[in-house]
Amino acid sequence: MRFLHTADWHLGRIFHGMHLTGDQSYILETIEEIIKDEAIEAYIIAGDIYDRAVPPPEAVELLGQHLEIVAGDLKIPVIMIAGNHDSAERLNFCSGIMRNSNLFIYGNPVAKIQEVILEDKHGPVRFFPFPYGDPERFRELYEVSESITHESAYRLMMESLNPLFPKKCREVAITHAFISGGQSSDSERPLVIGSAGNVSADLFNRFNYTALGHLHSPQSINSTLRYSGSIMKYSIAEANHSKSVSVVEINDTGDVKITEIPLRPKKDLRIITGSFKEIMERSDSGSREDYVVVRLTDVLGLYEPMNRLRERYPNIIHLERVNSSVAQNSVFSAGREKKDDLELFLQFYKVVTERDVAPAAMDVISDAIKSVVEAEA
Amino acid sequence: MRPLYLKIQAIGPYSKSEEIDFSVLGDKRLFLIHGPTGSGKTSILDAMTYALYGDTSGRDRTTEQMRSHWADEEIESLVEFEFAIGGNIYRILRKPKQSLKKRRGDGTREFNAEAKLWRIKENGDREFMVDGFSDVTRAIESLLGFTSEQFRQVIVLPQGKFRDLLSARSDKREEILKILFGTVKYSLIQDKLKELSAEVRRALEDNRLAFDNMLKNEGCDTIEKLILNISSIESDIRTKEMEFSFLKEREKIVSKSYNDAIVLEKKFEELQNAKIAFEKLKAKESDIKNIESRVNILKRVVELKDFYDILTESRLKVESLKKRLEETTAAVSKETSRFEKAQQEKDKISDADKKLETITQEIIQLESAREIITEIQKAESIIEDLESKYSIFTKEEEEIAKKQKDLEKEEQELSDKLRDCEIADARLSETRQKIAIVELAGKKLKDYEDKTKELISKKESLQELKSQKEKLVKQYEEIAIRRSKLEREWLEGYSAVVAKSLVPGKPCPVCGSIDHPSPANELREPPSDAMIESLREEEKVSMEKLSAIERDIAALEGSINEIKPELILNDIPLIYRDKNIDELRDTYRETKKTLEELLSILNGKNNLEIKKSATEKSLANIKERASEVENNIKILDRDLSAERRHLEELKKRTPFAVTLQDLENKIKTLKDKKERGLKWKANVEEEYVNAKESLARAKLGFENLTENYNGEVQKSSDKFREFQQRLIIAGISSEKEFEDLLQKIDTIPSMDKEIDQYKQDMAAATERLKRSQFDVNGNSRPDLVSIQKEMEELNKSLEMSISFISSAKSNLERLKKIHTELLKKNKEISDLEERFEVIKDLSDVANGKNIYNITFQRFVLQSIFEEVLEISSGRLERMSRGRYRLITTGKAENRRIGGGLDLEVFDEYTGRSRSVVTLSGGEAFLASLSLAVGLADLVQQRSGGIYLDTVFVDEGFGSLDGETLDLAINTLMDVQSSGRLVGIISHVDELKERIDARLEVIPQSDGSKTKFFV
Repeated sequence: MRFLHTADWHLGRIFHGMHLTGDQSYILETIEEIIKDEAIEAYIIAGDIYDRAVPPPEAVELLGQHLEIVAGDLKIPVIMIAGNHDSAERLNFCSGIMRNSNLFIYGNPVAKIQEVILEDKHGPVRFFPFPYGDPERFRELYEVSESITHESAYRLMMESLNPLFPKKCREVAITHAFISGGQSSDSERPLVIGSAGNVSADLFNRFNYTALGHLHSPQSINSTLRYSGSIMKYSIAEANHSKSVSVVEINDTGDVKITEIPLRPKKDLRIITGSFKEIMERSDSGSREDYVVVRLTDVLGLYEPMNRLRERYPNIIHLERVNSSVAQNSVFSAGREKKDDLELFLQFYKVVTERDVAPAAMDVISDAIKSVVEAEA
Repeated sequence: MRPLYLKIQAIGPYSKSEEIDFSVLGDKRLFLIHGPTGSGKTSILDAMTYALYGDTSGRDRTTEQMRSHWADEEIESLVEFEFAIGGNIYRILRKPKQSLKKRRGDGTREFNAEAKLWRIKENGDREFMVDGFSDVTRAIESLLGFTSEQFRQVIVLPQGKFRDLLSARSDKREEILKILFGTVKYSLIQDKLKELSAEVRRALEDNRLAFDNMLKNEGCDTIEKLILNISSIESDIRTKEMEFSFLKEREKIVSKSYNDAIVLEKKFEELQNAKIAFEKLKAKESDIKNIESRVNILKRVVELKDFYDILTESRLKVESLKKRLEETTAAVSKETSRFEKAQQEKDKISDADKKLETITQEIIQLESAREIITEIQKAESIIEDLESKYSIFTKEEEEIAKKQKDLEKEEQELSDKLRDCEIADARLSETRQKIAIVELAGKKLKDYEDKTKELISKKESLQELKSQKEKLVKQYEEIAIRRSKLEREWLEGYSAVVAKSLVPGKPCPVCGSIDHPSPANELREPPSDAMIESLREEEKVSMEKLSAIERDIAALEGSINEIKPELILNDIPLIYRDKNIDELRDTYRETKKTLEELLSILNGKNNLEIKKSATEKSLANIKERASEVENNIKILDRDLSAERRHLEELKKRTPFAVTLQDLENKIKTLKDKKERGLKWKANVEEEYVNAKESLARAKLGFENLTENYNGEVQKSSDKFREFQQRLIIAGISSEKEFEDLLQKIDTIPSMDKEIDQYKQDMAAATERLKRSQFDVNGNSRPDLVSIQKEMEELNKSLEMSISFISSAKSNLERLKKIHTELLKKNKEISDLEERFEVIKDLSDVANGKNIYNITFQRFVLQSIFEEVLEISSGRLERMSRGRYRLITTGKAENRRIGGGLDLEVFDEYTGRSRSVVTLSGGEAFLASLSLAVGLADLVQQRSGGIYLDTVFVDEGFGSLDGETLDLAINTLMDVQSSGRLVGIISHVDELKERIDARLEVIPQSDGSKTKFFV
């Protein structure tokens, strides 16, 4: 069976003030072409469909249109789980009815895991969805009293599978988590404030393939655990990633072969480094419409760099100064260490008169200071 | 300061008691206080601030408004707050001033605000520290290191207010920084320097003035003049001194001779006096001899005195012993009779003993009877008591029944009245409607009348205009006729002129015909062109007038057509259409009156309702009381019968019917008797023993005394014989003479003295006479008067000289002193001038007169401010991904003494800085947040003992978009990772997804509740 594994769409994301829905729509159209070209039999989306719990209406519309084309027109079964950015309840809307139309949506984790069985010419393949949940949820589901982490939650889920499904046929897991060994970037929201919420990879040993979502860089943890990566670059740190979807072929014995199909966006995200003059004048092989992050190496101050750069790159999203010297307009910095009052005064005097305090004046000022301090006490 | 436990009771939206236990958070350091708007989130911070300082977090809410309006009168408003500072745990309880229901009776009572502070020890005990509303606040200020102002800037970032620091003007910002960093002392130092400078200047001026005055007093302008004066005085003195010594020489000589003369004169006088004295004494010689002989006799008496005394003493002793003997005899006989009596009494004792025994037995019997009777009395009194209570309750029962009936009747009346109100209510709206209609009709009717009047007047004017027009037409026609006549004349005239030039066969200049059948011949002069022109003008004018009037007529007719009063009539409702104004007015008034009546009925409705509910309540109360009373009556009944039974039993046990009082009396009498008997017995026995003893003593005394008396008599007569012998030897005739002389012996010493004195005086006078005769030997009496005169003259001139010299000398002294002082003053002045220069410089510089026009305090503030900005700017840079930085404004030279703490935002995108008010809401929030956190960091760094381990941020997140919200939360996580507890207050739902520890505030109908979700 051939299926397409993708994840981390973040529909409706606002990136440095820009709505990316147009670009996302372009990419989803590309994916529809890929599905047609590669004879895909199942479509797996491993979480973070939307960027926020309450997404903007354009994003919802986009998802609806895309799913209608894939599940409705192309009649490909779609298995979709909620990630940590999604609101599970909202995503789960009418999921029970949609099963009849090839749409298998899983919002919240449940105690009794439900599987989707799809047939290829060698027999059935079981797909197990493990949507994202807060560890507290699992505590309620499995009635556990002590504190729970993501790791222990997954352990519980896997243990509950054993009695229900003794392994006999090919099995694919779909989940949204941070597997130990994965490489994260700036754009993933931490699952637990403070720690990473790691889950160890060997909990998934029984599955022929595990389709992962959450990390935005396409990467394989091992031969059967893989992150498809996000469909677009969603943070400046991802500027060097190359985005793709993964086409997975599973044969009759359960071995998998993975093919990466690159995704080319309408507007790419690039980082351009150089001095202002260079950037404005040199030739650029990339598109001017790209989302550009400019890192200026100029040392001196510049006049309206952003507006002027925008003339060349109308979709510039950010600029940084690499070497800029912070203008020292403070003549009066009194130094970091705490000085005592007399030292402060001496320094003050020196700065504002450009001479030192006369020795004859020293005891006058130290007496004055002493008398004020005593009066305060 | 870390919050541990907070209890809010009857404050803000928390009408009952609400407890928040922060230890539930465990080690989670970022938590969200979430709830819908108005549920009570900020109130939690208010309560914390109030507990600590007695005022609230935003200045919008005052402490009087703190008490919950939903709270029951009986629940008191208070806040209890337990928190940790460093390693110590403290607990505060604070209550605002409030009115609560009294504990006894009806109504409310005002309770004053109070506060208490405890320290909680390791074992959990409370150790009392301070109480008193402002004392506790002061203790907190010193424990935390903040005042409430600073607290609000640094720990609790209140809703909308921490933007103040960012967008404040620089003098406002200065105030805040001053308080936070305690730079007031620098301004005090400035002032102190200024003070010193003024002091020194004053001293300088005073000294200079004094210097000038001193010189002026001496009439000198300069010190040199003074020196000249001094030296002239010195030379005067020297001259005078020489004069003086010359005079002094002369005086010495004269005075010597004068002295000699005086001495001699004295000697002569002395001789005279000595002679006189000697004669006087000689005269007294014989008197003195008499005195001498008298003294001798008296001296002999003195010798005999002692012996005489002994004799007298002996005589007296004899007398006294005789008296005592007599007394003793009497005493002995008395004692004998006493003893006999005592013996008699002793014999009576045995009878008395027997009587006492009988009395004792009787007493015992009577006492047992008394006990029983006492009990009976007790029982009787209890029964009385119960019976009276019973009658009271029965009476009350009757009263309650009556009251109940009254209340029921009242209730019924009130319900009837309320029904009336409802009817009135229904009619109200229809009455109002009627009034409106009538008003409308009246207005329309008036309009109609007005319009009709207008129409008539316009028609009249139209008539006038029309008649005017006729006149004008006539005028015009007349003018036209005149004009045409004139034109004809003109034509005829000129035709005649032309005709004159006609030549047959030559063409007519007018028509060109060769034939001229009948040429015109007019003889008259043709009228001038001018005349015709003027007529034409007239005609034109007339025509114009005519057309004008026609226009007016047309206009008027047009407006007349427009006025259609009957249309107005259509607006009037049918029923009133044919009424007139007065009728309408009447209808209006009537309807208005009806309305007022209805309204007054309805006004009363509220009161009726209140009364009715009150009545119902009292009815319920009364019924309760009735059943209570019934209960009590039953209980009393039961008790009463029990007591009566008890009494019966007791009565059976008494032996005889007699009152308790009689019994008591009898017992008492018997007891007294017994006691008296016993006492009598004891007395008798004692008396017997005493009487025997004293008789024996008296007899012994008598014997001794008789012996003494006899002896003394013998001694006395011996002494008398001896005395008489001695008298004869001394030459005194009788004892009587002796006694007289004895009186006078104290004159002896004075007489002796007189004699001696005389002897001495005589010897001295003789000596004196001899000496003075010797002294005078050979000299004659001197002439004192002339010498005296010379002496006097000399002395006078000497005195004058001396006085001149001394006054000159003292003046010299004075001037010299003044000179020294002036020199000293001069030095002082120059020292002061030096000092003044130095101090003035310091003061000026410190107070802003320097290159940069900046005062000391402002300098320190600015450097602090720059430090704050550095720290905050770093945060802001991170939060804005390197786009924004905070910087201070202006070049150094341009700062005035007032400005200098302005800040701006530097935008990398434009490469320039701009004012902070140009930031969007969300950006301003980030900037304010980073500023506040930077401030907090710096305050903590500098102040050491201030613990900033908690930060609360109240709202502000609603204005951020998704991305910026993430950045803001990342900043807060940063803050929290440095060990601080960060609490966020927000209603933004998205935050619920991001932050897992949360305190949910749930509003309910009777106040709000809180619950932790962790």
